[in-house]
Amino acid sequence: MNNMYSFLVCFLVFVSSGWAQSIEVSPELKQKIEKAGANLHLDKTHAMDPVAVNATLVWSDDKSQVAVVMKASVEIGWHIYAYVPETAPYITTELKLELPKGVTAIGEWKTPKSKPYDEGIYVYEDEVVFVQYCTVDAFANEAKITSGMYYQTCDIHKCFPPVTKSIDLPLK
Amino acid sequence: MKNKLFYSLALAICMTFTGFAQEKQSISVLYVGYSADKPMPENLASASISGGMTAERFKAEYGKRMPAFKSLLEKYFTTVKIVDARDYNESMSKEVDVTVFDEAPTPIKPRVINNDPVTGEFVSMEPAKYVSDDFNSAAVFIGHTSSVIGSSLGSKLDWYCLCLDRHAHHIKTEHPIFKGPFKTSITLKDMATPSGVLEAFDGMDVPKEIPMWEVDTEGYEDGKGFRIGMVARGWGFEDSSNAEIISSGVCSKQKTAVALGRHGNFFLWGFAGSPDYMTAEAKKVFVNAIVYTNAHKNDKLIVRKYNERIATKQFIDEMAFYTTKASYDSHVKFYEELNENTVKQKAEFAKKQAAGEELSQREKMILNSDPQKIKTREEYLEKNIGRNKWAKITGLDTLAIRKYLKDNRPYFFSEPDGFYDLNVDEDIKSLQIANTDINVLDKAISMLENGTETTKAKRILLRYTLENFPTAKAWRTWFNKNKSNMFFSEVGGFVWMIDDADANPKVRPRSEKEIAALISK
Repeated sequence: MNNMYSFLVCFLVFVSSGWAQSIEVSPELKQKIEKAGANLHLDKTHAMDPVAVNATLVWSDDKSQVAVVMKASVEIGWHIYAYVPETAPYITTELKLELPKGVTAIGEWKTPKSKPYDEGIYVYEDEVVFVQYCTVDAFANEAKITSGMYYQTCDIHKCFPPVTKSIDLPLK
Repeated sequence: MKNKLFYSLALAICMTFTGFAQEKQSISVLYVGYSADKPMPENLASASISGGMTAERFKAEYGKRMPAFKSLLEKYFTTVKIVDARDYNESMSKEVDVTVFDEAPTPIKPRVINNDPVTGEFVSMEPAKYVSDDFNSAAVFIGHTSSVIGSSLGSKLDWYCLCLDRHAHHIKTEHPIFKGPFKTSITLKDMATPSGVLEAFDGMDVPKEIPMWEVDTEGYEDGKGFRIGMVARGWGFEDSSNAEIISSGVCSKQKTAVALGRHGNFFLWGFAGSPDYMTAEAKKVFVNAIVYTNAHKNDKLIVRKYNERIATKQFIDEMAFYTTKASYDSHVKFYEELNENTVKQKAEFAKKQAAGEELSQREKMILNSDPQKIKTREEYLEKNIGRNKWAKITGLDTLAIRKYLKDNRPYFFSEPDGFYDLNVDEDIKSLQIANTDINVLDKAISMLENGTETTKAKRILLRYTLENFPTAKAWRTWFNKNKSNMFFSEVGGFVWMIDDADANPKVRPRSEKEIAALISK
């Protein structure tokens, strides 16, 4: 009996972990993303604050999945770092995500293409959109997703210290 | 004979001991850093706290810098005090000769951003304050602390780049800090010139190897999360009598980036290593720098650089450089090589991925990258020149740009809050007198005295001085009294100042809007 119980537990754990990894993002949700990203409004950037960040939620038709669409606009001439080797002094952009109970990320953030900048350094310039798909079960009334970026922005004359910008996205 | 020998020996022994005793300077030093007795600060993501160290390295090193500095300082100075930065109060600096800031204290006022009340657009920013506006105690700043603490004071030891590694170059080896009082040699070794120097507009003629001095035994370029040093901007640094550049250092910026320098009684030790990581020579030079700062303890700041991104006339040279074929060719070559390298690596990592192998973060990033679009000559000029307001006059014609820059050099100025934004002053251009020529003030005052073009004259005087006299006579009296002791500061706001920290009004340079408002009253 105990052996049967143990087997059942292991089986369920195995199946559920495999289940989470095999969740497909609904094609109709994917189709909505590009338009959502394009329509997402951003504050104007300027020389003292060269990066604007905003985010929105895009739901699948059946509300079982939601995509966090986060867009950053980088002032012309400036960039943020997609990848910085350990031997360089700049700060790689980190994407932040806080999910409430009932919402689970599907894989990792989908990131835009970066550009080579210097020895081993890759950057994001202009407008870039990041997407995190999630599954949604039951959630509390006031539940929200918090999406954000920790980044450093530089141009050829100046680097700002790294900052975090976050956006709260109520689920309801 | 025996007595003579005895007394000679006794004298020699006394002199030897005296020599050892003379090693300590009678200077009181206060060290401000993080104590292991206090909890680790939070927010290690802030470079103002971590100095660019990775969180892991910060935690590993936490509490070690203070005893290292204490031990070094006690070896060379008679009085050494230590305080945790979070317990620091600026009155403590009044009790000592020199304060060594290794960490910034708790801010006393947060940063203020001023936006237009109607449009909401950014207007100006006041940096956070860590000390009061009256702070003028002699201080040696390690790395980023010079800008964090000094920014609100208008220190020239500004935050150009937190990217200084562990070697100094372009060193003024005859400077007193390399000479004494603690004797040391400075071992210079030819090493590869940093790419930031060679690729800068003023670096094309720098040799491929330059002599360098090793300051720290480790730097961030070793890839182990070491604290990162800081360089200040070199242009305009020495435009006041009590500011001096001593050396640059290996960083991603040009040769004029300041790693070691002084502004008044503030000394920038841009390198980040604690004494645990300083070379034997660097330890001596560091304590010499403290002695040197003490010698200048009464040197108050004369020029206040409140806008770290104010352009100086050196920016004209940079603009002119961008119009050259050499500049564009260098840009193309750099990106062609970068793209070629990226394409090769992408192919390699795609193969690896197709074979089912796990890719590292770096490899995934490279696989998900596109080559940089190499700008056409026109796009390159548009990016580097087109942003200037005067580009509407010249267009992107390189000859027209160079002529415009050369012909108008004497008349270029920046508004106090300008960000790399030089424009021609048509007022002084009409007089054909450069703003760097003190006769421009003389001429403007004469115009007031004669009643000719008085509005223009007032604009010139309000633009290029910090004074505001009600009559031509008052202007003339002031000018005649001080003209032999005046200098022009570009980083201080393109103003003529008296070479005396107590002789200038405690006001900021005026914007064109403020000047117009004053004149219309």
